[in-house]
Amino acid sequence: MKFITRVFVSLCIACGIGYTSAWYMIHSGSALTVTTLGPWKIWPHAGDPSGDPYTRAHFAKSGRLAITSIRAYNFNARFDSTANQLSTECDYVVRGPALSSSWWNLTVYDKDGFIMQNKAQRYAFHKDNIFFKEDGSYEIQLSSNARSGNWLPISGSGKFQLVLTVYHGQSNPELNESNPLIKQLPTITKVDC
Amino acid sequence: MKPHSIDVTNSVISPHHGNDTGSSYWAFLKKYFGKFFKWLRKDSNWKWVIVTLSLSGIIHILTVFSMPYFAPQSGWSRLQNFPLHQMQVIENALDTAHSIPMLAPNIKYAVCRFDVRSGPVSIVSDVPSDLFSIAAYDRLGQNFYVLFGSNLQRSKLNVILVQSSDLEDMQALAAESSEDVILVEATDSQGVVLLRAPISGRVYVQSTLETLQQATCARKQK
Repeated sequence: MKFITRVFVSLCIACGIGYTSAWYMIHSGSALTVTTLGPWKIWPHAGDPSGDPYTRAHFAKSGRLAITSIRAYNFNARFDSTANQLSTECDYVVRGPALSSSWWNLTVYDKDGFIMQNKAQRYAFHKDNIFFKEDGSYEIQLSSNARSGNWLPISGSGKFQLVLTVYHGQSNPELNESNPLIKQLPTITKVDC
Repeated sequence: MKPHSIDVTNSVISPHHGNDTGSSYWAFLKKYFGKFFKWLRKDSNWKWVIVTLSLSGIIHILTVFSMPYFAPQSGWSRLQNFPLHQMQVIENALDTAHSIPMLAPNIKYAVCRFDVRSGPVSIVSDVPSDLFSIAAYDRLGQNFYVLFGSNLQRSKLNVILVQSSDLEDMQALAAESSEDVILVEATDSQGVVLLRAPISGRVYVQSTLETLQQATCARKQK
């Protein structure tokens, strides 16, 4: 009886640890599969058929049809620059210098990855429709209340996320220190709650 | 000794040995698992810790590797309502009918589900800009092919997706053809082709949508 109990307990614990650790590694990633750059995270092998099994599982589970990082980067932020969860109950400012890329796009999504509906019908800024400052930098206000300048409304209640898609042209630059993009990624600062 | 029984105590038993394969397997399992359980029965907690951790590792690996095959909301599953071999324009990324997450509102999309088992699939489209791209995904959402307008260096895109067994025939046909055809070997028999056309400004919306609406996705005769 003691043996059977031990087998049962062992199986339960193994299922718990095995499944939970797999779910975490697939959902959030780890240092092995995800590169973290300030508030931004990227799965460097997104969409790559020869990528690691965690990345493959992550994208199959999410249903995203991502372009392989050979051609475009998809940076995702669920936290601000001080590592606090992005919440629709707070206001944020996204600041950064001009990005060296052929095209980029910054979009606000709800926690499930769908575009946040809003009355102002503003959902994203990209390289060609954003107002830059004189020094070439930009600032985007994320708020549920109307703001002057580059304003993206955040609506509803709860968590939200930002996705910065950067098309980097024909080359296949690595995301390392020599890549100028690393230093150009914007910061996300909480202004008020 | 019974006619089909095997003495497991002093014989070397291979699962691939003998005429009665079922009995051999059973004997093989009985021998090695029997020893394993005997070892485990001896009262020692560290053994249980090792066994539990090993099982956890196996379950972890099985979960990770099986996830793409059982994900109920993979890109392919989410587009089940879209017809095969028909280009469908997603005019508005806010429209949740397609239920593909993370579509950008500043990009116009056209989607085609394909199945190359019944023959090659041809995708033809004008190329409205350097940022325009075609991406082909297998059922698991792996992007096995991508091409940008800037790489194409021409205003017309003509891609043919083929399964590996049809590749040689199609290469011969393509060599004889005067058209600039790009042959792509599909890594999976089924999948999704996604055309992306980023919009630089509102003035380009209508013309980009018209370009995507004229794009075709059709099964090609071998």
